[in-house]
Amino acid sequence: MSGELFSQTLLVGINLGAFYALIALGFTLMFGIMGVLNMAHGTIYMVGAMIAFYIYGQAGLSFFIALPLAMLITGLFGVLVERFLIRPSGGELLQVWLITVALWLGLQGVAYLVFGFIARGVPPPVTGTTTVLGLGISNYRLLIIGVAAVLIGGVYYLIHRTKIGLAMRAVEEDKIAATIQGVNLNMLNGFVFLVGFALAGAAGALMAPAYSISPTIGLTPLLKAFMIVALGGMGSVPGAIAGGMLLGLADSFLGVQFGMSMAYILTWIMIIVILIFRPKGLMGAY
Amino acid sequence: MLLMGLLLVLALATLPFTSACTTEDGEDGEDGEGPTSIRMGLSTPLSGDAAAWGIAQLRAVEMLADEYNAEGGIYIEAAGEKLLIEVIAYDDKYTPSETTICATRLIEQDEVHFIHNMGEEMATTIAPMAREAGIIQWGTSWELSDPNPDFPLSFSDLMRNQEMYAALITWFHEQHPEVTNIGSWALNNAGGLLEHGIIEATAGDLGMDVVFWDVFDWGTTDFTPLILPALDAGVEAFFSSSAPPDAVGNFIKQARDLGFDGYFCITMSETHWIAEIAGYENAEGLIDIGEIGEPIPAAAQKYADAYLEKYGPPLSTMCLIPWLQGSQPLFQAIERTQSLIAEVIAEELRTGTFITVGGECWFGGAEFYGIDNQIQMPMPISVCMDGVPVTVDWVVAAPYPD
Repeated sequence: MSGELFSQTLLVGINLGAFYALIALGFTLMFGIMGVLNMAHGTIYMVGAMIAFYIYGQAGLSFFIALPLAMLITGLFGVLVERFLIRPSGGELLQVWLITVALWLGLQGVAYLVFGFIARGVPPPVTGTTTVLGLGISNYRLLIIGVAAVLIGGVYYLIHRTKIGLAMRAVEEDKIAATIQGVNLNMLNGFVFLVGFALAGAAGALMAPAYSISPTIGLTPLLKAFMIVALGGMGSVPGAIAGGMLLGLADSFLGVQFGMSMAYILTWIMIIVILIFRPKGLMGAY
Repeated sequence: MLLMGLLLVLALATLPFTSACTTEDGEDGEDGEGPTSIRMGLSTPLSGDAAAWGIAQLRAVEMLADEYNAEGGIYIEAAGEKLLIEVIAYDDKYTPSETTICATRLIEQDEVHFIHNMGEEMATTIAPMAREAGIIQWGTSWELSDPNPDFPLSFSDLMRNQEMYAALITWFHEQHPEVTNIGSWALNNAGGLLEHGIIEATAGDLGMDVVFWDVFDWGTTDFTPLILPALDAGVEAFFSSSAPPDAVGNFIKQARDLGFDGYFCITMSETHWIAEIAGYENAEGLIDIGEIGEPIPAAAQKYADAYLEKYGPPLSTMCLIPWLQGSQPLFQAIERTQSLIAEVIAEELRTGTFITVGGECWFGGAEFYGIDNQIQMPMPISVCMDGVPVTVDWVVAAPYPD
């Protein structure tokens, strides 16, 4: 591998890793605090991408309006899902899982009706390249890394520097004790769903200019989210970030070195090996 | 109670779009003796990554059916009258398991006289079913083993890698003799692997080097691990066959993003969709063999108008060529033989010539496949200009490779 190829692969890997970390963060938050395995996570990513398509691609508004709007809409949807679908189930694992599967398929069906069957695309909001480490990297890839870093940093700040973040950590550690201490579980759960769904919607909107948009684009992010939380540790926010970066770099380097199909197999082998030596993931608490 | 409600929601959510066989059009088969209609069945992808192809194929058959039905149908001697054409389509999601269900329903329940399909594993699935049922299979497949003397009722309605790819590379070399390093990327299936073999053989004869090749799986959206080593190897032109439009669009976008300024060559895709996904500027100059572009040939214009009236813009050029072009011989063979007997129609297909929107076509390929069941037709070459395919040339199939 030449030096230039190595550097390009590294930049692409960082770019992928930032995207993966963003996708996994919301997923691990919902599992860590509420014990919810959100099978609709990928579909919310799809919804975020479609919101960006309609607001930015079709209506012609700025991408920097479409992105926060996508987060707001998906986040508010998450609040409604928690209040009217998850909360009445009583939190039983299987029932909640079924609810999220139904949500996944139902939203995908609606997407087929509204969006159609054919993949569409939107242009990147910024064009051109910037030289980094002596190599040209597209400005849009830099934007992805920057926005993802801001969002991930924001979540980290929320969890470790705010009262509500303290409540989230308390619930994650001991739900009953946290309730006794006065934490309003219902409000907190709604907030977790708001943040989790908003992060998935943000990832979808952010990546809409990078990939095509169709009702089926949610499956790969969902699979990646599972891989990352297993790798980083179920319910661990730092683990999701570390796992996302590790997976992004692995996908990039293994793909370049061994081809795309072999890279997929090798990535899973890597995850299995890590879990053998660290069954709870790199930074897992479960 | 809650669980029942959830199950109901799940069932309702899955029924319209994810159930195994979604009826697009058609009625149940009728009882009674003798044919009362000509039933065209399609097991084709109407959702998922391959939907662009399946929908184009379905609409091509529907438009031809509309054309003949406007004249009262096609005269069938056994019925003693003209029979209307029914089009019955099910979504097989481009998977063999769904294809089995859809084809079984078409053959046994709907009792179709002809079955159209899309894709190699799907064609292989349907071929024995069609043979056993004694009906004609009208399929699109990249599988090397199709057509096949073991399945004399299975016809290929599109020019495939063996027919097209050598012609494309030869044409490209004539236009761009300065390009010597080419790269190949293809789906990870039999067709994709075959494509690579043809590219290597043809490129070598022309003095070009295949400096890079790789395969990708269905659903791939990130192609950077494939593009980076290709650029490092010095690829000047990327060739791909059988990649769906969204994959091509993603590939072009990401390759340009990584600094590639060379050529892209593909087969039978939908340029305007690719251009939207990739960006018009990125897709400028994209070369496509098998897709008709502007100006639409006079013979195809009425179908283009009919398409826009029935389905609305944008016009699917793939629907016209290759799918409508490839389906016209079947309808003409039925019309000439005035029969629905598969063997009679098959003989007409193998011995006749047919006038299509893209010119004259016939069925041949016995020297390569062992049976003359492969359509032979002139292929347009189009170049993307400002998001629109523009026809720049017509080519015929190169001699079959050894």
